[in-house]
Amino acid sequence: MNFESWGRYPKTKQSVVRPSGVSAIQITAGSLPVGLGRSYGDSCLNDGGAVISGALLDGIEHFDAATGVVRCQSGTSLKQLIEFCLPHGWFLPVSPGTKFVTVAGAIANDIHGKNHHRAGTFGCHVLWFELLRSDGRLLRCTPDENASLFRATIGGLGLTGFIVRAEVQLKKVSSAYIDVESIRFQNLAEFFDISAESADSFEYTVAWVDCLATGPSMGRGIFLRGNHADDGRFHVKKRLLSPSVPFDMPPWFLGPTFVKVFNHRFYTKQREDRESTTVSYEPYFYPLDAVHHSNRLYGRRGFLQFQCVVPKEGVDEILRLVSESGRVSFLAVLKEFGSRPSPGLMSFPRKGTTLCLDFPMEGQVTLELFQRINQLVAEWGGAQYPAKDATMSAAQFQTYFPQWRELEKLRDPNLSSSFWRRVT
Amino acid sequence: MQGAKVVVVGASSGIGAELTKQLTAQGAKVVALARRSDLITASCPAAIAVTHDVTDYASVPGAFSDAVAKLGGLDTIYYCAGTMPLVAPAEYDFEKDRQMVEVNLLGGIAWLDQAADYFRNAGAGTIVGIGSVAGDRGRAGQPVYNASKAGFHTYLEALRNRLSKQGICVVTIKPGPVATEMSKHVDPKRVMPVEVAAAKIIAFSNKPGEHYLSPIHRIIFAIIRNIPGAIFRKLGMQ
Repeated sequence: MNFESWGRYPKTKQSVVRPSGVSAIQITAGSLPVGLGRSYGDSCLNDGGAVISGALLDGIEHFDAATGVVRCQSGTSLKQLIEFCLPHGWFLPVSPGTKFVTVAGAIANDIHGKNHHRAGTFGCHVLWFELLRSDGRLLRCTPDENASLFRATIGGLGLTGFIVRAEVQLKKVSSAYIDVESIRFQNLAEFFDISAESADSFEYTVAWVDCLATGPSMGRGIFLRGNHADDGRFHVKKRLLSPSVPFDMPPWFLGPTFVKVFNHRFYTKQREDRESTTVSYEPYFYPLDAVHHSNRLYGRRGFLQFQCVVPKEGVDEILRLVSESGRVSFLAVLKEFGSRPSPGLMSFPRKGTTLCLDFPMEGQVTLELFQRINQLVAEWGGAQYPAKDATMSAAQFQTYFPQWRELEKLRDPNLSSSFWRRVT
Repeated sequence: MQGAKVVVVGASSGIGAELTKQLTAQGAKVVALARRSDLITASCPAAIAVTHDVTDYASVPGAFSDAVAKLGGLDTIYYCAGTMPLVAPAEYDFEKDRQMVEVNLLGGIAWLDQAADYFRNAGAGTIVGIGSVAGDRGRAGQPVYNASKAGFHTYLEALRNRLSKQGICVVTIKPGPVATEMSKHVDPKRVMPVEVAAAKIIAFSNKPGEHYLSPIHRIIFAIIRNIPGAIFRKLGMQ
């Protein structure tokens, strides 16, 4: 069985084990726990070794509709959590851009979402988890019990052991629908103004940037901010069929022409500079989930995603570099992180502005562009998101995450990943 | 209904509370029982409210004869007590499961055994048990709720087969989601107003047999009951 990361780059070979129950989990030497493979780069790959998939270890074991505390096995997807808990008025405390992520994956990457400025990362809402080590010990980890493993496992990229089950505090919401306001901004200065003005009154903020725009309109885009509606509607009509990209598109498919047309359309489709609408949580949080295998749009060679956090002054320079490079990013997302600290040792989000881009893998030219972007991030004292990385150097990683040696000490000796071997 | 002597078990909320209201409004004399009898007094002062826990099985014969004595006889009994705690998809909690069997099934047997014996001797009477569409299949989401209701349906069917010769009417009602506390997490568009449900139950009370509360349910659940198990699993119906 083949296992690929979501970006489908790099191409690696590893065997896949899918234990069907907790007691069937065997952490053999040279393996790596993985979830649904939605990390983009090589943090969920283990070239030459094995991956232990938690995909069959799903199941919500307890949910208290009065307190919103849910206990589940680690392979439970965020989709399963939402579909069971939302009708009772509870939603994910932190939601990434796809619901096809396991709870263990959410912990191991300490994922963040559009409410980072308020809620911090997923790890801030984990009450405890059980961690299976290769020596057979099953450790209950909480902020007080096995505290160093608790901290190291949150954002620990699956290297500290196999997360077996976890308990998470969900968030009480007033609706499954989101009141969204979309505001057109002409440049980065306007983005930062709107972002500052929105932080206190909007739970969710994010912006889409047209990274093809150059000159005075460089950094133009649409700012999307939202709050849960106040209408008590917790049911969303289920789509019976979701379309799927049936095969790899040719490599030119998401090329400059397509992106140019798409970006222009996206930027100009709203007639007013400010528009308001109410949409269900699905198109709001998970637009790309509507089409299965959307990563096939980039063709067989896959794509490289890039996400960094830099001081706000650094964003301009990175965007300029990208727009001048002539390479086009289909997706470009900008958000200001908040200051709520994560309990995670290796958590990526930190005060600053995060920029997310993705590029089709076109060989050396793409890798060279990434080297130049990586350098800029390092110069600005920023950091890159391991879950989305396939290119940063060991020196860069160790600068971004000087605490990596602590993780290395607590790493389960039987566990490793392509990513970890690359950056340490 | 004018002057009818009726017992409603499980009358403090949901379908039982609404039945009590409508039956008294139609002139019936109702003894209404529930653990929270103060709620009955508040919602329907015309009923004779009695505090009773259906899982206190030893007290059922006494409660039954007291009710008959208060009414001066008995024409119809409605068993509406039911519970459906929130059970997670991979949860196996015997306490929750036992509670469902004790209230939904054993409590029903405790009460309706009394009523069946009474009506057999009287040579007339009506038994109405509130089952559920959930009793039609075993589903991943609610194994024991399904089982308790399926068991109740089978018990009622057997009573019907025992007692029909004596002219005793045994009715099984299979509501879908009704706008009660139990269904508050169900999509409001799929929920029947409790007033409508109670009115339909009263209308079905002299028709022995099994009744769904909406005509479309009759068709849908005829199909659902007959889907082969392997396909039912594939469909992933919760």
